[in-house]
Amino acid sequence: MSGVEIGLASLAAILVLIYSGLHVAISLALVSFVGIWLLRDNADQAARILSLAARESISSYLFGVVPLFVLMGLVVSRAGIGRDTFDVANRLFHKVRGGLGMATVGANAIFAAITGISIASAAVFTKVAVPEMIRIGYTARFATGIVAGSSVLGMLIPPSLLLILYGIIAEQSVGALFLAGVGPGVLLALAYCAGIWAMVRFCKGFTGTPNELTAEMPEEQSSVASDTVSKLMPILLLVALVLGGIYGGLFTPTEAGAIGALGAIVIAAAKRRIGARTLWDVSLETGHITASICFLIIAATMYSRMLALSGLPAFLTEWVIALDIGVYGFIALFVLVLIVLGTILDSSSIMLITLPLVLPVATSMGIDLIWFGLITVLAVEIGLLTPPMGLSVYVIKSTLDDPSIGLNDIFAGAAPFALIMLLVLLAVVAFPWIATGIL
Amino acid sequence: MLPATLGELRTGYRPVDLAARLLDRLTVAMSVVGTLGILAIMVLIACDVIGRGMFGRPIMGVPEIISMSILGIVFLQLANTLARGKLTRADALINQLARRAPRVGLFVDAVMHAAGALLTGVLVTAFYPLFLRSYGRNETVGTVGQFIAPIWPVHFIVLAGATVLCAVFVMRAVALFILAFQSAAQERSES
Repeated sequence: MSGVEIGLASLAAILVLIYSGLHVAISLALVSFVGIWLLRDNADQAARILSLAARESISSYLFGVVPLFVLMGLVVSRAGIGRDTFDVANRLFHKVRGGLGMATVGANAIFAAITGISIASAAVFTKVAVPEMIRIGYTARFATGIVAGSSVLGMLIPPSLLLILYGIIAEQSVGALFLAGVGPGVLLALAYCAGIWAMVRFCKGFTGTPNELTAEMPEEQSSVASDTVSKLMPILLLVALVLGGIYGGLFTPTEAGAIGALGAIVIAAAKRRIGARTLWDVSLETGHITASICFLIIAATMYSRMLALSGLPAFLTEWVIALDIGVYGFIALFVLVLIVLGTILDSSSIMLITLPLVLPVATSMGIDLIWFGLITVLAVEIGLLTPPMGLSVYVIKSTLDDPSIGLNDIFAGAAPFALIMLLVLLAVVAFPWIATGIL
Repeated sequence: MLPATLGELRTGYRPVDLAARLLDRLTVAMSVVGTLGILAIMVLIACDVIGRGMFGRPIMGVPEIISMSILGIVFLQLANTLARGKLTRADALINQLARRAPRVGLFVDAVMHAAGALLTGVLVTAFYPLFLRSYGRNETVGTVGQFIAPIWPVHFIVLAGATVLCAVFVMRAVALFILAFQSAAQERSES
């Protein structure tokens, strides 16, 4: 077999193994090991490359950001900061048609600025927003759909774990990627709001008839103002600390992660929302998430070394260029593959599998890799909402713990939001300045 | 559903179950150390930032310490992550299989874990010479005069973590095979 054939065969083997349930990192590493063995006809050398990848690939200062931003996200999601944001947003939107839905989207967008993981947002807002929306007359389908859709904002608006991951693989500046995430994130939030308004107006059968105007808001003016300030302050403080610190040139992203995590813990403790016990549980969970992601990165390093040895990326680059489909044709194909993979795989695995193959193609086509990163993350995140493996939907289902609302309902509710994401993705592809304009 | 955590895998054979419980304890202990490590680097970086910003006195070698300790932290957590069933996998299809044909599901899952044991076994044997070298030559990181530290303790943690990870894979594979054969025997006696 030629190198390229071995490369293609190993790609197929990886997909088959992952789909049949082998741990993603093990699938990548095992196939890479066998692949290098075949390519070099030398098992010792293959094992050596394996061990070098374990030693080198994550031992870098930049990887400190992974546990720190995960810790920060988990702390703020346990500290009731999500509920505070929702209360404030609710006050703002409560006179608008579909206002409670928009408040959920708005609160998610703000919450996203202090957390980098979609799962955290999905869990928090399922508890906070779904019962409220159902109470005033939204259907369960629509209410959970809104939460599923807007949880995606967590990965788009900085800080974002997926953008960090992309930055690591593509060797792009994490700060620049964060900045580029703001435009698409805000656009997506606005598009969701418009979509909610239109659906409540025109598809009552799907959304139910919300009774927003009668939802009481029985507080005095002065106490409302001070309450709003006390609820918004911690978030604004954290956003200023983390994003301000990165863009002001005060902190590296790793330092911003540490300061943000510590700041979140201090604020949560000061508000008496988090005790030593919860903090320890959250730290353990952070450890598990960090280990999972970093093990994936180690395995993906082995895999990309195997790919480089096989010559498949170079072959693929020539092939795509010979196809003469142009930049847009290539992006369309790539997005399609990402969405298909997203039906069963988790976001970080998809990126680690596809990027080593397509980044050389993108580079040789002269594509802006920051823009390409935002397209990748958006397309991957659509997979969070689509069956059979929409991760956000599963998180909502398990957080909800209500047998009367089935997975099918949540998927149906999330479908319009997946469609809106696709439209926003098209907009970002057509108008790159949405992402790269503020760089 | 397939059993998710090491603790849920009760085979009924006392030696096997006892070994699983002890191994689980070991992974918990390692994971506690790793978790403390995460909190420690958070505090360390914060002290560095405050020291630099307010007193003009940064802490020496923070980048080197972070890049070394992140490797250690990950390998301290890996075994427990697997033992708790939290290592990333796409389990939709295999869970469906386990619902329709529990015995086949258990058997396939056992094969999966055997594959994991094989790979981590290769990793351990290939990493051992790397550890011996950094220990034998007393390799260091950092720059002389500013911050310098030996690298072998981290490599020892990687080696130990990978070994325990391999052990958890073996343990789960063994327990799942036993469960698969038990349910096969049960089906035969019923029919």
